[in-house]
Amino acid sequence: MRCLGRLYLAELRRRLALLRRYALGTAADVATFYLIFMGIFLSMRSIVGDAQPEELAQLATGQVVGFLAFYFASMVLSFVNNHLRQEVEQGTLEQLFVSSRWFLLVLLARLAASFTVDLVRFIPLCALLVLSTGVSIRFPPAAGLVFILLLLGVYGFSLILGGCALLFKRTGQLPFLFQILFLGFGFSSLAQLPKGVDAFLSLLPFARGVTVLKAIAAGTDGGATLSWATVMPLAVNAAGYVIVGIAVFLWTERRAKQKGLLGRY
Amino acid sequence: MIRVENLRKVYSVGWPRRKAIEAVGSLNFAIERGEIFGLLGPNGAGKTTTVKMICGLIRSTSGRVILDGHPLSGHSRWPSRLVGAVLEGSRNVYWNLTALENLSYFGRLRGVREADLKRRAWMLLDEFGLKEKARDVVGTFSRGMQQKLAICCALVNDPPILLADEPTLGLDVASARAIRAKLRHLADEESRTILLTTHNMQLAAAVCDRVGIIDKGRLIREGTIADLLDVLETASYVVEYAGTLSEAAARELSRIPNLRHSAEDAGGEIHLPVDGAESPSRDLYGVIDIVRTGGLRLLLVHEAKPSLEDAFIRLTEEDADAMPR
Repeated sequence: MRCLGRLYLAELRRRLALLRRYALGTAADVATFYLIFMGIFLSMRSIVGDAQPEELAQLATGQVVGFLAFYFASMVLSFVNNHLRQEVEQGTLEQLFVSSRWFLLVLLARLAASFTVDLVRFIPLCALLVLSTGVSIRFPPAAGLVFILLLLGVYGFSLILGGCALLFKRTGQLPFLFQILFLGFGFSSLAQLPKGVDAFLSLLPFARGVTVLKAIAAGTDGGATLSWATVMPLAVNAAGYVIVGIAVFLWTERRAKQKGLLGRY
Repeated sequence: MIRVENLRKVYSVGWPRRKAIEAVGSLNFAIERGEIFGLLGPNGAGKTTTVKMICGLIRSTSGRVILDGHPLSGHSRWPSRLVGAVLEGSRNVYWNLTALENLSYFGRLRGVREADLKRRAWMLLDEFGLKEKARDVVGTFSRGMQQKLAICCALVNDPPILLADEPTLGLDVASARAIRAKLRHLADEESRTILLTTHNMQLAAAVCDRVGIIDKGRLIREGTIADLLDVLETASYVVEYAGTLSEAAARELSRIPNLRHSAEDAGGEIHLPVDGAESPSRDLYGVIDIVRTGGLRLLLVHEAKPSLEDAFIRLTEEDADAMPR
């Protein structure tokens, strides 16, 4: 745990240094996400223009929460892949493997540090969205738990994709494909899908979690008194992805070392 | 300090028909504390694969690596406590961070305590002449400075072993000289064990206590520079001439034992080994007479000392000749 704390500190300082050095890029990231969201939000609003004000508020809240969940999930999803690519391109990936006992821990610490920094970036984005759409978001502690479970599942999935990148190289399009799918989950509901398809897609990380999160934020679920029946499938889903993700990553790391592929991309 | 026993790496390549390629075959060598060992070899000889197996980046097919008495295998595959590695030269550090930020980052990764980190980072920057540049972004550094910083980062947790893959590759003369001096200092003054790979004979001759010549994954010779030079004549006289040697003159030359003659269109060189010759000076005057009487123009007569490069070429050529075709 102390080791993870030290790695987190190292990563956080590195991220903050980069954030400070490339402040314009950081601002551009926030602006891009804001503009994408507003585009989608205004189009959907024009489609359901004759809805009741209460329904419209619920829809808007769901969309804001869905989009913010997508914002973080897409960051986590492409995280492992992006970092492996960047490190190989810089020539530092092998140095990281030599310098740390468990590269997986470095990745986890790096994710936690990125998440912390992204939370800081999220505050202006969230304020902008709330001001622009006029929605008020409820975020009880139960929503925090759902949010963490959602991201854990996505992290496990990201490790699987990262493992594929270690072995097969240039798999940058894979996270992108799933990001598109996640964007769909963020703005629509699984309930609108045909039976069978929804059951299958709800096995993916993010899908079920974002539905629950939107319901909590819009006040259509139990909110603060979230039931075990809702949380348990999310927890099992997240734990499953994390366990499989770690196993796949460790196996692919071992294979990459056998094949001498670590330093290439 | 470093012991490599029967280290072997075989890659399986191709699809659908797999083909086994032996990158390194049963390598054995040992390096003592405070010693610099150079692994010399042409491109693709297996030098980098060997270094990467020693630092755990490539898993060996068989054999073992023992670092300071600890075998590098299974769960103990974490050599960073003992080993600092410079694998990609100047690209081993983050170019978008400052020198100090790089050292702090790698120090934390390598488990240096917060209380010691700053002191250690500043000490290394000072030692490598980078103190003035501590807060500059590495992207603005010269290649030599980036390479120095990469070595600093590898040494940030004070490991007793340093592995350096082509440490002076692409550096200008002054930077290469500075790195050479630094490596020698690390071995002599700080008793660090250094394994470096290179195909730069000057670097090997200048800093290595011992060298191993590796070719096609096999260690074909190992020893001190003097040992390796023993494979050649210790010295020879060289007679350079201009013009074309007649058949009669060539016949005369062939009577002198151990003489090597290389002729080109407008001239040539005659090498006369000193060692083993009954009377080297008599042979030399004989050669000069043949050149003069043959109507050739004598350009230069000098004594040549063999270099490590000569030994390397001779050994790798002999190895290629000995390989089954």
